[in-house]
Amino acid sequence: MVEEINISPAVEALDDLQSKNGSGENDKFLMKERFEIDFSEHLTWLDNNSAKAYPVTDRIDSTRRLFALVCDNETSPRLSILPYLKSIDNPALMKLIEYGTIIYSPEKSHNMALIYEMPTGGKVFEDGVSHIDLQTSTEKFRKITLSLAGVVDVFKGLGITHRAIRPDNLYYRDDEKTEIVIGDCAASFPAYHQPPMYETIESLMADRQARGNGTDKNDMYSVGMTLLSLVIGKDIAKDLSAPEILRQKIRKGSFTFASSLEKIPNQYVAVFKGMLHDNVESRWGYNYIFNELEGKPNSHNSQNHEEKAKRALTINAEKVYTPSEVVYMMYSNIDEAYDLIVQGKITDWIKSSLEDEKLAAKFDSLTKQEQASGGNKDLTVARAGILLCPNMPIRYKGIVFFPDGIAKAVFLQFKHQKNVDTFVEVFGSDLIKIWYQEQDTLRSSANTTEFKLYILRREIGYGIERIIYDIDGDIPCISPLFGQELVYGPQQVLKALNNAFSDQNISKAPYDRTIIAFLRCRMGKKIENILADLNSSREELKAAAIMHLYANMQNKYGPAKLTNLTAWLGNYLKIIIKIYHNRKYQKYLEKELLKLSKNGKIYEIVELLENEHALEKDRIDYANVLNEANLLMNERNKILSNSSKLDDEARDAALRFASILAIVMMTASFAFNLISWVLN
Amino acid sequence: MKQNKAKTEKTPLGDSFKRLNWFQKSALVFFLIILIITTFPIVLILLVGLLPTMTVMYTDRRNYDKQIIIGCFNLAGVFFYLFGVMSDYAVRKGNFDIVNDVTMLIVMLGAAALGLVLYNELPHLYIHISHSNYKHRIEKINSRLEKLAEEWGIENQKPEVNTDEAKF
Repeated sequence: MVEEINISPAVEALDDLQSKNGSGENDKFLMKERFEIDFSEHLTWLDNNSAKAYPVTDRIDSTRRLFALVCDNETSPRLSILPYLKSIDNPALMKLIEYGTIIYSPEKSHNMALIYEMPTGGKVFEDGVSHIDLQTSTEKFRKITLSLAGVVDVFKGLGITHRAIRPDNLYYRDDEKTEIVIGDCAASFPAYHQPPMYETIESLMADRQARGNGTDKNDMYSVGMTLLSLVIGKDIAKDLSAPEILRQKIRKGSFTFASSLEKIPNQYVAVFKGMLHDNVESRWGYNYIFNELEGKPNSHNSQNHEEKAKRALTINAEKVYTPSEVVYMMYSNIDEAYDLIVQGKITDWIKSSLEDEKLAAKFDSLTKQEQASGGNKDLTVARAGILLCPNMPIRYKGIVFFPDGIAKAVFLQFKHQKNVDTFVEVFGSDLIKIWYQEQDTLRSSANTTEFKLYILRREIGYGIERIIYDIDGDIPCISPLFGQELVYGPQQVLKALNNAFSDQNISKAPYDRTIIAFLRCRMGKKIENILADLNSSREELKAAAIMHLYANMQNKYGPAKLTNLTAWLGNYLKIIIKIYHNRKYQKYLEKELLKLSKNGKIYEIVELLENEHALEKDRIDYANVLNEANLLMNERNKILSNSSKLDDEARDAALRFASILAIVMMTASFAFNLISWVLN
Repeated sequence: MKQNKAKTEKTPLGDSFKRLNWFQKSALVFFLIILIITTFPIVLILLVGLLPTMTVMYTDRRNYDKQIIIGCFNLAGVFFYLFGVMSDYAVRKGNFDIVNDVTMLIVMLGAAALGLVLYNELPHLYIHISHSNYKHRIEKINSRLEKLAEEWGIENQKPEVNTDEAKF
C-alpha cells in the first residue's frame, strides 16, 4: 500500500522551491506547485497529534481556506491510511486535501505535511469546555451521534481506523457552528495522543506507542466517551491519572465508572452502555446505535460488564473476579503471578469459578510445562495472560503491546537509540504467534511465523529491522545515513542518501542494515539475490550488489542525477576495480570513475566497472601472465638450486669438446702427414 | 659411473695372452722381438714420442677423457715425425740419432703438453662462461618478473634456495 503513495513529486517540488527561494522567502513552501504553506503564522489552536498547523494558500483556488499539519518526525504519520483519507468525503470528517513531504524551514528538516480544509468555526471544546446543549436537545444528540458513528462506519468499510476521536479533536466546520467534524488521525501513531479516558481497557493497558491500529470497536468506544463529554459539557476525568482510570475501568466497567463521575441523562443511557461496553463483541456498532436512536428494536441486549467468577482469586492481597482483572493484576505482579501459575492455583480457579474446561486444560498444560522445565517468568506470565484474556495486549519484561503496534514501539526505541533487546526476545519467542492463535477474528500477517527465523539470522537484510518494516508499512526508514531526510519508500532512498551525503560519510559504506531491511520489505523478493551477495564475505561482491541495486533504483524511481551519491559510490566502489588484475587498467578505471562520479548517473558506473569484454580479456591475460611468471620462477629456482650440477655439466661439455678437438687434431695430422708421405 | 665401468672392463689382450700355452707365448714373444728389430726406428719413435700418453695411461688408467685428449694430441705430434721416418726408413735404419732431434721431441711432447693444458683449463673456461650466462639469465628473469609484478600485481616470490650458497 505504501508503494502506491506518490510522494516524490513533493520532494522534487521542494527542491525546486529550495532553489527558487530567496533569503526572505524561507518562511514559505510550495507543495505540488499549488499549496503554499506559510510557516510565519503558527495556528496553535489547530495543532494536533503533535503536528503543527500553518495556513495554506491554494494558488488555483484562493478562496479555499486550508491549513497544513506539519507532522513531527518524532513519531511517524500513518501513511497507509492517507490515500483513503484523501478519498473520503464525509461531512463529519475533516477533509484531507493533499499530503506530501516538505522542507520544514523552522526546524530545517524534511517532514510530512497534511493539508486539510480549515474548520472555520473553531474548536468544539475550548479550554476543555463545550457549550453545546445536548442534555435537552435529543435531536441534536441524535444527529451528532449518528454523524460521528457514521465516520467510524465509513472507516470500517475501508478497513481502517481513526484512533484519534476525542473532545479536543472536534471542530466546527462552519462559522455558524452547525456541523461538527472530527479532526486529523494520520499525523501520528494510532491512539498515541489519546487521553486515557477515551481508550478501551485493552488499549489503555498497552504502551501508547504500541496500541496498534485496533478495530472499529476501539473507535466506537472513543466516540461514546467523546459524546459523553459533549453531553456533560466538559472533558471528563481530565484530572485522573491513567493508572487510576485503568484500575477503575477494570474494577467497575467503563460505563459504570463514567456514570459514577458524571450524571448521564436517562434517555442516553442505553446508547452509552452500548458504545462503552467493555466486551468488544457486545460493543455497539453503527447499526445498533442507529436503531436505538431511531426507536427501532435491537436484537441484542448484552450485559454491561464482564461476567464475574463465583469465587475470587487473590493476587497481591487483592481479590479479583474477572479474567481481565486477573490479567491486569498478573501483569502488575509478575513474581506472584508466576508462582500462582506454577502452583496450579490459577488453573484451579478457572476450573472452579469460570468453569471453562478448555481454558483450564490449556493452563494445566502450561503449568506442567513450567513445573517440568522452569524458566522465564515474564514469558510464562505473558503466555498465561494471552490464554486467559486474548484481547488484552501482550506484556513482556515491562513492555506492553499489541502485535500490530510493536513495530512502532521498536521504531521509537531506534529513534531514541535505546536498547531493543527485549523486543528481540519477543520476536524470538512464540508470543505473537500464540496471541494471534487465540484471536477469534484477527488474522496474523503471513510472516509472523518467520519472525523467529529473522531474529536468528544475523545477516544483513534480516533481524529486527526486517520484522518492523514487514509488520508496519507506515514507519519510515530511520538509517543514520539519511540524516534529517525523510524516507517513506524506496523512491526516496537514493535522493535521501544523495542529500545527506557529507565528507564525514565518505569512508562509510552507502548502505546499512536498516536500509537493506527496509528495501527488502518495500521492494519484495526481487532483491533477494542482492541480499545473498551483500552477505558474502567478499567485499567486492557486496560493492557490486549495492551498485546494481542503486542503479536499478535510479533507473526505476529517479532522479536522473545524483551527484553526491555517485561521488560516494565512486569512493566505495574502488574495491570493484581491484577485481581487474592489470594495474594500468585499474588506473584507467579510477580516472574514469572519478569523471563519471561527477555525472550523477549510477548506470554509467555499472557500465564502466562491469564491462564483460574487458573483464574477460583481463582474465585471459592474467592467466597467461601467471603461467609465464610461474615458468620464469621455476627456471630461476632451477638455476639457483642446481649450480653444482650445472658446473658439472659445463665441465663435461668442456671435456667433450676437448676430446673432439683432440681427435680432430690427430686425424688432421694423420691425414696431412699421410698425404705428404704419399706425395713424397 | 666411470669407476664402475672401469671395474667391469678387463683388458682383452691380457686375457687372451693368459689363455695361450707356453709354446704359443714363446712364439709370440719371438715374433715381437723380430718385429722390433726389423722396425726399430719406428718403434723407437713411438716409445719416445708416446711417452706422455703412456705415462697418463699408467697414472690415470680410468680417466679416459684425459687419456683421449692427451693421447690424441700426442699422436698428432708423433705423426709428423713418424711419417718422416717412414720416408727415409732405409737411411735411418738402425740409427739412434732420431732421439737427438730436439725439434721433433718438442713437437711430439709439446703436442701432448697442449692436450694436458686443454684438459686442465678448458673446463674452467667453460664453467666461467656458463656462470656469466646464468647470471645474465637470472637478471633477465628478475627484470621480467618485476615488470609483471608492476603491471599485474603478481607477487615476485623470492627464490627457494639460500642465496648465500648460490654462486650467481
